[in-house]
Amino acid sequence: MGPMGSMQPKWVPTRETRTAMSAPEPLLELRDVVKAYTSTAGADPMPVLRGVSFAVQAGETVAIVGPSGSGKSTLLNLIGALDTPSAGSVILAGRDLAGLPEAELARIRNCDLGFVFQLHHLLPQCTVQENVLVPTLAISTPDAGGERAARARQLLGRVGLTNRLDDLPGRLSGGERQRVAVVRALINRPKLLLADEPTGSLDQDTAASLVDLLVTLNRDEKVAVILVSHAPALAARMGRTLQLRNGKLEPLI
Amino acid sequence: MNTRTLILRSLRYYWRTHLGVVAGTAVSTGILVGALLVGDSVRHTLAAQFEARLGRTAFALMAGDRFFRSDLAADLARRLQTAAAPVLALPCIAVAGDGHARVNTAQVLGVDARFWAMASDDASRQGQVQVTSASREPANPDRVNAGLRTGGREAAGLAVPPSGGPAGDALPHGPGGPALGPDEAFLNEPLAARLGAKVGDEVILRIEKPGLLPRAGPQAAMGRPALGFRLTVKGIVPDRQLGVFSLKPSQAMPCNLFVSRDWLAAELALPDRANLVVLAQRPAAAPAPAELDAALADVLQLADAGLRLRPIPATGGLALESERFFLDPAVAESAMLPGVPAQPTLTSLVNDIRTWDDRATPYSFVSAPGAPLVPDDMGDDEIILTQWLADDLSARPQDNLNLSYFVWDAATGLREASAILRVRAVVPLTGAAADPDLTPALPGLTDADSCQDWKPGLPIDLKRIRPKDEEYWQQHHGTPKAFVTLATAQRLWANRYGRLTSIRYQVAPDQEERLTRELRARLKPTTLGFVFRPVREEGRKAVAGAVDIGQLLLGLSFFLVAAALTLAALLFVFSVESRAAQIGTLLALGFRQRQVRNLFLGEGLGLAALGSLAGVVLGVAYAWLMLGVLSGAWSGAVGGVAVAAHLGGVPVATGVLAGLVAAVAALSLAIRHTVRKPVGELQRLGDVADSRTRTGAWTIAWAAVAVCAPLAAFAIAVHGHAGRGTEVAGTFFGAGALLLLGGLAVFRLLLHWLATGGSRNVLSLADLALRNGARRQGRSLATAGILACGVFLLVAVAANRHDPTREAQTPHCGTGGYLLYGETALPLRPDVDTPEGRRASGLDAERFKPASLTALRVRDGDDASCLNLNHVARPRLIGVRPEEFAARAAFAFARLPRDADPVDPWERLMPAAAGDAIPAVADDTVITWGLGLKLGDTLTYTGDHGETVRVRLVAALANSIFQGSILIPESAMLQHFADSSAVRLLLVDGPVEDATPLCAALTEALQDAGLDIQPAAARLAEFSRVENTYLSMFLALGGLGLVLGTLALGIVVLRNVLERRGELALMRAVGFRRGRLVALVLTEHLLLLSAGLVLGSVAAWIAVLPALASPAGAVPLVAVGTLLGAIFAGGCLCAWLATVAALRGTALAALREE
Repeated sequence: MGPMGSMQPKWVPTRETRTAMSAPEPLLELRDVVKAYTSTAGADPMPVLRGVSFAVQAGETVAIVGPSGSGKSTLLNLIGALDTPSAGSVILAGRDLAGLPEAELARIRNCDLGFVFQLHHLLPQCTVQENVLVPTLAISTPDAGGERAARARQLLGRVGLTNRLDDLPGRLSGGERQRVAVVRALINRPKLLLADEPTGSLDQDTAASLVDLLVTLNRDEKVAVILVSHAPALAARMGRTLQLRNGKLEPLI
Repeated sequence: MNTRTLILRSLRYYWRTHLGVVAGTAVSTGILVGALLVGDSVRHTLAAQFEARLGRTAFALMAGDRFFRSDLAADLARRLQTAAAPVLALPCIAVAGDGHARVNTAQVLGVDARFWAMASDDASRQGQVQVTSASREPANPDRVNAGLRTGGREAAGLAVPPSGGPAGDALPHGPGGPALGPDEAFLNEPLAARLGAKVGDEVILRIEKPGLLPRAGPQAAMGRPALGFRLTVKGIVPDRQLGVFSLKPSQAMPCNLFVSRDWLAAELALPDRANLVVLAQRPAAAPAPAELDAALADVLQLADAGLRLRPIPATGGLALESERFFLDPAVAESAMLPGVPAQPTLTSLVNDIRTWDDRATPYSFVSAPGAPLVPDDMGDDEIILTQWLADDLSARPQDNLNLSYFVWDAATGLREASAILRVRAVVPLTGAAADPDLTPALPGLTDADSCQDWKPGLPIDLKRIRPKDEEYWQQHHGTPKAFVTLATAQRLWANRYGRLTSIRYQVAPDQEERLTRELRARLKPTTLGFVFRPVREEGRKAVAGAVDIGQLLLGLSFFLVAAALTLAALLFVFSVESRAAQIGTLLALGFRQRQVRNLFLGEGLGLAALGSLAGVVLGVAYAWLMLGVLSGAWSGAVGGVAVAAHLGGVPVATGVLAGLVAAVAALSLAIRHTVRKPVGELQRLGDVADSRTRTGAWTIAWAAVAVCAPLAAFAIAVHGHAGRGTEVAGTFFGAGALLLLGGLAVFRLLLHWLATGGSRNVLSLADLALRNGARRQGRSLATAGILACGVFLLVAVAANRHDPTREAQTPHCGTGGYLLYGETALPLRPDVDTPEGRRASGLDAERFKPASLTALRVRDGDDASCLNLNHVARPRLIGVRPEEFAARAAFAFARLPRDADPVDPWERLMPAAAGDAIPAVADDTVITWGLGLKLGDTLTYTGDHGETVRVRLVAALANSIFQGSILIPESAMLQHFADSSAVRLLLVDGPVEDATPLCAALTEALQDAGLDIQPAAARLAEFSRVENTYLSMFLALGGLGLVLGTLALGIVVLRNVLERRGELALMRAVGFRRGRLVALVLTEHLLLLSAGLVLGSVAAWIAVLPALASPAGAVPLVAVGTLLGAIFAGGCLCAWLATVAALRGTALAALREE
């Protein structure tokens, strides 16, 4: 309708605008992250990551694959606030990790993130239950009412280790140890779980069951998962797969 | 689950690797605790000795060589409301009844019941004095137990409670305490042991017969006779019951012989006399010095000062006279009472009065009685004769007469002088001219019934006495035969002892009491030599300032402690590094670095606590072992005292706390860098060596240390070399430690250079070995540091050890070139080293011809040598003639003032050299260690007349036979200390081959004087024994540090190789033989071994340069070289064993593990 009529042209949002208006803020966002290492004095820095950008939503599962030495663990360390980028930004829950004090980074690692390493890195001197509760020691507040201990038992029960609470890691199988490591990573209800080659030391069946566990926990605990692996079959279990190639991250086709 | 649980879990799980940390901490704590316990035990032993020596005695009253009333003690006791006891104390010689044993340095104490009441022990005060069992074996005479003995039981160095032991036989006692009859004696335990005497045995007591006349007066020229008594031993007095009574602060136990004071005084013709009063401490506050002096002034009688007022029939007045013949100048001055007419007089013996035609009258008294006998206008060159003398000489007025008489000078001795006087008049021998009371009593002369009985202590020729002289003596006794003016008499006969022999008061005899009161009121006890010594306070200070053995041990053990802590820290770091992945995990889980570090520190604290507690056991064991050694092979370090172990809570707690703090600090420092590594690096397995370089800031810091530390060491050495006492020891350790630190900093920089490509040449095995050696810089530095510390200690100790008896016959040696050194218990003739003196002493026989004698005067005091642990305030004085030492260039000087003449250093001892103080010389060790002083400092003494005498240290001797004493000019000794000193020291020069026969001959000839004589070199060796004992201790402790060092090297090698098993396995896989790999690894670690040896040796040599530059220094190159060789060989062996052990197994197995 024109000016003779009462009809005004109707504003129609574009697809992008509609997307922008309705998309939630990502849990994790990397913007042009660059990481380079200096190997010897005087030599030019060797870039490992050459401008990585991607985002992870809350509750999402992402797999990052790539050949050995491509920088997958480096990328995970940057996300996990264990290292700082040479350039670019790592934004977690809306906060740029760069410039945060060490105490705050430690708090983020303890409360917002969970780590699962290729080697379980359980403390051999502590029992299964105690290993799960180790992250809680970084928080100075006491465990009033034993809530954390109860959560530990509950999580360990979910992964089938109810009867192994008082065993030392030396008495567990490799898969059992990794399950304990996974539970340890979840004890403080993190928003994001980082798993760096968690199946690297496991056989195929055990590896598969571990990934199943991750998927289940992702659904039940509403925790986002970033899985680094060089096994495509395991990566395919994640909702999205990205490939790290030549220092850049791109969707795996 | 909480932090404590995690720490406890970790402690329990890693107990194997933690064992080494606990052991290292236990060792370091044990050394600290042990050293403190030893020091505490020595202190308690000295304190126990001090209590045993003095009992309840707080003050001692002495009056030089005077003997005062024994009732003075009771008077003082009443006045001061405290207990007091008179004592007759004299040096003596004690000989076993059968003559098989002899003690020349004993002390006889004439006591009564009041003395025994001074004991601290309640039983003793109540008269229940215990005696050790008669069947008890005599103790080792060379070692005396400082502990408390009961019933002869000596519990191997442990203090014995007073109430223990068999009762034994009680000493015979009367009402109030032990009683002694005539010819009876108690011995103390040391004397009984040395004589091998027991109850019922006989002992012979020899003492110099004391007299009322001044000790150093004219009568000293002839010497005083020695008396001998054969006594029966009635009991042995235990130490705690004043058996070891002594006023000298020394751990050397005195040899005491107790007799009845009444009996001894009677035998010495000193009835009711004493020369010492001991006063007990009051329950209330101790009296101030002013109160003591006031009390003494109140109760002092004329008799105590040797004065008497007696009626003079000839004048009807009273005369004040002295039993010392001359009136003390201070007494004479104060005795001229205002408003009391008085006439001073002076009378003297004249050997010969002779006319111009050689008519002579022998041995007459000549007096200066004043008016009316001597008219006011009489000239000072005139003399009035009595008729008797005029007739004997056929002399008339205006005749000239020559008077010959003795004059006494303590320096030159007795000599005869003469004067010519003109006869003014002749007076009849009646009335005032016939007054025998003008001549005061002169023992041996005026109390003789006939001239032939004269024994005046002067060299008179009795053959000159004629019958008419004997007749005169019978009729007129000591009546003067001639008179002169007072000015003439004082010109001719006055001396340091006085210018008057009496003061005659023209008052009625019934005024005696009033006059006495007035004279007493004007007497100043201090001018008469009366002095109160606060012996208890002096003793406390001596103990408090004693050589701190604990501090010494701590200082010696510093490097040991550091080595043990470094070892513990090294093992802890290894343990932490092996758990690097855990650290990374914790950081990744959200722990902060501080939290992770605190977790490991918590483990470290637990380990340190365990180690410290274990260290208590080690410390007690170490102390027990050290005390045992100090009582045996190393007894020289504590002056021969058997130290009683004292397990005090304070030293244990201090040692534990110090060990705990040191261990925690070391462990904290050790892991500081490990926790800071990146998480990724921590989580990587295998070698996580810091191959990355340090930042520039660290490099600059190490460079700064490398420059500043040696400079600081130099500054400390320059400043501290002239310092006091323990500062010199601190200089040695401080400078050495700083030099070592500087050297280690240089080594660290070298490692950094190697690690950052400093030697990037063509790759060779040697180059590879160097680079490998620099991979773990911190570890390498710690290993080299431990070795360097141990080597430093050993080399520095070995370099300081020397033999002072080398070239013992050369004058510049510590013996002064003298062959023999002897001391007597009783005085010798002052002229014993002159031909006449030797003749009179029986030293002119043929067998003595080769010997030349130098006699020196000694004033007793405290022993300031290294043999006495106690701090001393008044060292013994020796009067020397500097010109004699200068003539033979005797002795060497360790330190001289800058303006001293290096050609004639003894000129510093010339009387005018020290301004208002007496110049003095002493051994460098005495000045530094014994007195804690330095050149230019002064000591204060009290002279014979109560005057303050300052003695200034002007030069220091190097290790001489005079150690323990202060040398002053003989002229100064005679001026201020003539009465309190005596010739008792002999230096004998002669052919070396005559040493033994001369020793024997002199001992026999002078046995009545109690001569102890030995080769001068042997005496020097005794003093060196103490120093060498300390050095032996250093060597032993250093050896222990070395063991820790080589052990650390072995552990480091083992660790390094195990960490690189895969790398070395790869090298074997590519063709390297095992032997070549062993050589490669050995080469890497020889770098550390060599660095440790070189750094330690260089730092040690530079640190001891000041000592080496001293004339007394001597470098034992062979010993040092052998030592270093042994260290190098031991280190190579440890490294080789560790390498071979680590490279066992197949390459494949190692590769698979990788």
